[in-house]
Amino acid sequence: MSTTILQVNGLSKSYKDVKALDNLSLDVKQGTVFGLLGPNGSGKTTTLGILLGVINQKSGNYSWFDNGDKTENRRKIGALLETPNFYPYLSAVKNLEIVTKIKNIDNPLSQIESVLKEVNLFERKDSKFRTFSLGMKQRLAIASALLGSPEVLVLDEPTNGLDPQGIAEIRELIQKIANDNRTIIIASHILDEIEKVCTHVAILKFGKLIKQGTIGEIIGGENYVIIASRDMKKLLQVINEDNEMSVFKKTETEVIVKVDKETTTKKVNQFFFDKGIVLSQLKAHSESLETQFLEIIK
Amino acid sequence: MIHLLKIEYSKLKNYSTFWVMLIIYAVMVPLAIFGIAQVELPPIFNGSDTLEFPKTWNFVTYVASIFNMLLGILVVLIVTNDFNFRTFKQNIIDGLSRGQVIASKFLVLFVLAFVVALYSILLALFFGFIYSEEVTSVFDEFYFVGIYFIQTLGYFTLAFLLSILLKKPALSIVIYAVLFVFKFIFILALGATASQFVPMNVFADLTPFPIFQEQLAMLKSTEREQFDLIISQPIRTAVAVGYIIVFLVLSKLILSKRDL
Repeated sequence: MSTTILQVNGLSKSYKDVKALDNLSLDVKQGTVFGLLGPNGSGKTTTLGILLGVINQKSGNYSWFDNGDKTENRRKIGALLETPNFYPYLSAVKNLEIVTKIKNIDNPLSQIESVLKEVNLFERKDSKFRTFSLGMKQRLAIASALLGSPEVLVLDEPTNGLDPQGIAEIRELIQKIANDNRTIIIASHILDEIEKVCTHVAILKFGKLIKQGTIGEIIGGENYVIIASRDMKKLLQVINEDNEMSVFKKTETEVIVKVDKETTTKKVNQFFFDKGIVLSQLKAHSESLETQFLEIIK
Repeated sequence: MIHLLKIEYSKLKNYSTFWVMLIIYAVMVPLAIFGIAQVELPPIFNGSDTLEFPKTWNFVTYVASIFNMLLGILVVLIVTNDFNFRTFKQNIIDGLSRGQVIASKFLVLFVLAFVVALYSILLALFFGFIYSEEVTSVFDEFYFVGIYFIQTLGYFTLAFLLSILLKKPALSIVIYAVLFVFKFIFILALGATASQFVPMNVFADLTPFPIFQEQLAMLKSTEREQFDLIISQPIRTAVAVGYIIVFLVLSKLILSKRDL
């Protein structure tokens, strides 16, 4: 049994009449990459804001490292919340120096150099923050979160504003950090991102926890195939008559069918062939988390 | 405490507006002292006399206090910058408590007020030695520097509270400047007695116009009665310190309750 890094009990928060967060409980273990998934306005940033001490919760509590919500805990967490927040008139290095002072980091200059290299900003280390592009600002924020090799990284939409290459680099970085048995909490509405890097997922909707589990548990339950036939009417009829499969989504030209976990495309093909239907299209639906996600939050 | 000051210094070291405004202050105050000292309005006011020891302490701090508006605006900028750049939020995320955030800014104000008071000592000594015909009782009214320090800190904490409350630089500066420039309106609106307790007026009255005390002393006792309600300097100083504490506590409360 691995150590619990973060425990959240019944966290709630309201803005006027809107319930931004409703009795949220979570458990994050050491070494996991924990994805917080949900559509816009589902309470991801509110959750992280409370956990990072900038938003006051209405009720509930949380504990980092079994040490409650003490300020000192945050010095062991590297965090990026919403936007990159820096002094525009200071250079990248000077901005990071402030962070090393707040976190009491030893060898600040070598630390700063190494994190700037990690995010490919070293050449621009003496440029003022205000001269940076959106992607560079985001990378500086990630560099800042990496300072002092914190035990936990909290990243809110980390690939915001990055180009495809930047996104790939950040993912690689996250994998590397996860391999060090450090814990990462990522909030995102980009499912692909979560699916590629996370070991655990919690899905939020309107501030409520809808589902929580390992990525295998969330995705693993069902299987989807995309099929089409010349006679779509008959195809749909056959699907509806069968107990083991159901229509998940249909368009004019194709149908996404939910099938049993063990069902292979070969079995699907055989099944329809036996019913006298020739499939003109048959493929496994690969974006399974997205499919799951859309169904869960429906 | 030193740690918090070092963090704040890293923010200010390369903030050019900060240094430019300090330089403007440092140049304007001696210029104004010199300029007003040239004014001769006999028999009421004799400019060069007011620079003789020990009167110079009152005169220099009085003139310097006029330019506290400039420094108050600087305080507004320093504080609202951290809202503007969302760096208050980031500082807390990175590991400061809300109390530390307030404390570190107050420390900056304290040090700034201290430096300004030191500068007024330099100026008073400089002008005193130049304009005094005979150098005697040099430090007799030195207490004006201490009062000036409290006054500056008072203006600063009011600017601080406004900035915490409003978060926006432009709005905070306008309200601060209006309060500073139009404080006489409180005298008209509330009357001479009650208006003495309005924060801005308490702070302003700490360094009165130099000849005011003398004029008061020259009045016949019957005429003086109408001024009896004027609170004494020690009480006014105590009220000012009270306001400083109240402003700080309010700032802390507001920042603790607020979502950043």
